[in-house]
Amino acid sequence: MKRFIHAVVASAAILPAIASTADACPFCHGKNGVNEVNAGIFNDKFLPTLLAVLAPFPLFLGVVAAIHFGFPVRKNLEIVEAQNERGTNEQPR
Amino acid sequence: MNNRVNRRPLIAAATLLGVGMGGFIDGIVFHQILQWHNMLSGSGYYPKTVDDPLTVIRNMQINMFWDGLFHAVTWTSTAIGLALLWRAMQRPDPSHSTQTFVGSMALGWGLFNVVEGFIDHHILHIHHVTEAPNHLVWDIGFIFFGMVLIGLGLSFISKAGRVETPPMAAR
Repeated sequence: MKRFIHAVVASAAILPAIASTADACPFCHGKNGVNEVNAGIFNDKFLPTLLAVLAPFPLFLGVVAAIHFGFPVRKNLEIVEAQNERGTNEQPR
Repeated sequence: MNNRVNRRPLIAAATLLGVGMGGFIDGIVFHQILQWHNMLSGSGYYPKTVDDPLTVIRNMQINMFWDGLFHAVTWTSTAIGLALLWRAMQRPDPSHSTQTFVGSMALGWGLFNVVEGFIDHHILHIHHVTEAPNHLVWDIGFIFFGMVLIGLGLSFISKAGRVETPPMAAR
C-alpha cells in the first residue's frame, strides 16, 4: 500500500515537468517562434509567483496543527483540570 | 472505563477538509463557472481585461496553469484531511458528533476565505473576487462571509461540546 502511494505521488510530481502547457494552442507562438505561454510561466518570476500562490496554505496547516496538537498553554490547563478532577497525577490525553 | 471523548482529531480533520472544500468552491464557482477571476488575473499580472484577443488567450492559458497548481494544493489539503479523519475514527476515544464535524468544516471554509482573501486580494493583489473597478466591495464581502462561517463553526463546535457523550463501545 505504501509503495502504491509513493508511486502515485511520484508520478503526480513528475507529470508537470514533462507535460507541455500549450500544445493545444498553436497560435500562442509569437512571430519569432517563442511559445509565449511557456515564456509567461517559466521565467524569472516563476518562484516568487509560486510562493505567492502557495502562501495561504502553510497558515492553514499551522492552524490545523495547533487544533490537533493543542496550544502549550491549553495543554497545561488540561493537565491541571485532570489532576483536580481525579485527585491523581494521571496525564490527560 | 473511558468516559471522555477527544474532539481535537475530528475538529482538526474536518477543519482541513473545510479548507479544501472551500478552496474547491472558490475554484469551481469563481474561476470556472462564473469566470470572475483566476489565480493571476490581477491587473499587474495576467489580466483578461485587455484589448488584444491573442493576449487575452495567452493570459488565460497562463492563468489556467496557476489555477491548476492551486487546485493541486487544494486537492492535497482535502486528501490530508480525509487521512486525518480516518485516523481520528480509529482512535479509542473518537468523537462522532455531526455538529462538531459540520461546525469544523464551516470553520475551515471560513478560514480559507479570510486567509486567502487577505493574502491574495488585499496584500499581494494577485487577483480580486471580481476584476472590476468595484472589486473592493466584493473583496470585503468575501472576507466578511468567511468571518460569518468561522463564527457559525465555532458556535456549532462549542454547543456540541456541551452535550456529547462517549460512544456506546466506550461506556
